Amino acid sequence: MSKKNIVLKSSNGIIFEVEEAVALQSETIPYMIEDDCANDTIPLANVTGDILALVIEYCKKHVVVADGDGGGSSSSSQEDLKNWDAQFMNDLDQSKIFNLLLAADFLNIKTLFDLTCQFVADTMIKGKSVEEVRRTLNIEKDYTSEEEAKARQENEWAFK
Amino acid sequence: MKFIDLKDLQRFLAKDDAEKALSLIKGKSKDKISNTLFSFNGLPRELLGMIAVCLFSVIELKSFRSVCRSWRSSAFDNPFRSRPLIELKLLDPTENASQQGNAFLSGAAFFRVTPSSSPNQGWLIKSDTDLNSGKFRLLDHFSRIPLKHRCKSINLLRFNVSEIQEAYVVHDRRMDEPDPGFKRVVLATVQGGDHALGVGWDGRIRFWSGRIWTILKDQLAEFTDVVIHGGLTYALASDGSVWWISSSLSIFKYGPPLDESITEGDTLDPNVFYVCAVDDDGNQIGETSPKTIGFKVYKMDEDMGKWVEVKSLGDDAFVMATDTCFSVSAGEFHGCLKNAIYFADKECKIRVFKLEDASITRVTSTEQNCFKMSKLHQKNDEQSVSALASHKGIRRRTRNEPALTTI
Repeated sequence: MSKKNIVLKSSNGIIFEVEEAVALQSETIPYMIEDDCANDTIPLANVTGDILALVIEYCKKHVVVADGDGGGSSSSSQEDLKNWDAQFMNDLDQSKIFNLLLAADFLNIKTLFDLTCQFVADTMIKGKSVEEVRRTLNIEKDYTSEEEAKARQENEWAFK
Repeated sequence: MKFIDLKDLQRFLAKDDAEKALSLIKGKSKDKISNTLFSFNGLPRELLGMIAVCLFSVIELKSFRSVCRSWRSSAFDNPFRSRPLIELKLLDPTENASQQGNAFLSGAAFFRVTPSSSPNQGWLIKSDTDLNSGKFRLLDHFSRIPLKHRCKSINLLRFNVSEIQEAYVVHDRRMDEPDPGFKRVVLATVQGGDHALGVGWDGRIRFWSGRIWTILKDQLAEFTDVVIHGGLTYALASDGSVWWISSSLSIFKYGPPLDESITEGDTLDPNVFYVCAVDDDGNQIGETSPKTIGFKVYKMDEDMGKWVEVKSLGDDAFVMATDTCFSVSAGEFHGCLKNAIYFADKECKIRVFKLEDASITRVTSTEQNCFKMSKLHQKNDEQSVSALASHKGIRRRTRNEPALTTI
């Protein structure tokens, strides 16, 4: 099979040309290719260029490892990949993570989606108080006083 | 809401109805779905639900649900399994008699509790209830005896509670106490599931096969401890060597024994001088002896391939309970000394060994320590009185309480 390139266009009009194998980690893109709906250029109208660049960076890294070592993935390369993933996520700010999560969901890239969810859970929610979570994630408390009382009750843990 | 309904989009895509899918995308693209729109409470419910699944325990799930309305409605199922209470039919590993249905594996855990208003320092509590029950039962950190306390509840909106270490014992219902046949029990992932694995006082590793305790084959050493580290199961032999137990229950030698000269040179009596072995990540593998007069800490030097004595734990402290051992960063706990080892003596009083001067002192009940939550924050919170778990409060043993494991 000859190497085919796929052209992706971000919502703000930035064009990315990637190898098919890289793009096909997204389960959404094949539908768009099959239907030939966009004359070789696939418009991704809800992914901005900077986020699409990140998605492609992730997919490139992960496609290389899947191809290397004769298709097998040794435990050390798995380990390297894990470290790379951690570094990749660590370098992102909150708004990028937020948009990456949406992009991974829209493009249906399962590993990237899982990675992002886990990262959000680990770094933004775990071990943090409700107030802290609201503060760091810029979330307004929108409870009625009744709902608040309910939440309070739910969080009241008895000592047996 | 400015988001594309992803469900709709996927439905169109799944139906190969790309035209509709595209119109959906194009139609919404005018709304500047980009960096300008950024608030985590605006995430679609399905995505919030996926994040909730990544949380560690029901405690975190409760706080997740308390953040705001959309978070609350996105995570209503509890995806966490209950803490295993594995029924074990045969009791005594040394006598395969027909004692049935009296033993079970009981799980407890150490938690770090910090006031939400000042989350940098906190206390350690230990509880053996299933977290899904929404209740805690405070246990003595070292002996596992239920503690007497005055507080009724703790509010997770006021306190951050995070689990830091699990600890298991085999319990005997008839005797109301941990099975004396085992030194240490863990819940290991072997043979495709979670199974009880323990080291008996006879130095043999046994595995609960579902019907009986089975001695693992090819045990070439006498074992003293078993730990789970990084998802893998390791055993410590009495000569200081570390062995790895594979998921198919084979035992492989993993590290060299402790240098003979070190052991003999410094150990006056194996019963009174404890050698505390530490693996390469600083996690300690070991046990206490009745008359502890000191500890020696060793760390595996992987380049040299041998145990090297460690003179300082740095900013860490070790907690050596009867059912587990772990290290904490001392600075994260109130009154916790760094470079120290906490353990309980025969009378169940907490003692601390300072590596700096090799001294052992008793931790008195009046001084602030990480095992005793203070009433400090009570005034800030009329609803959640802070826990007051004091070692003074150890109750006398009654019929329904597990007895103290004396070792």
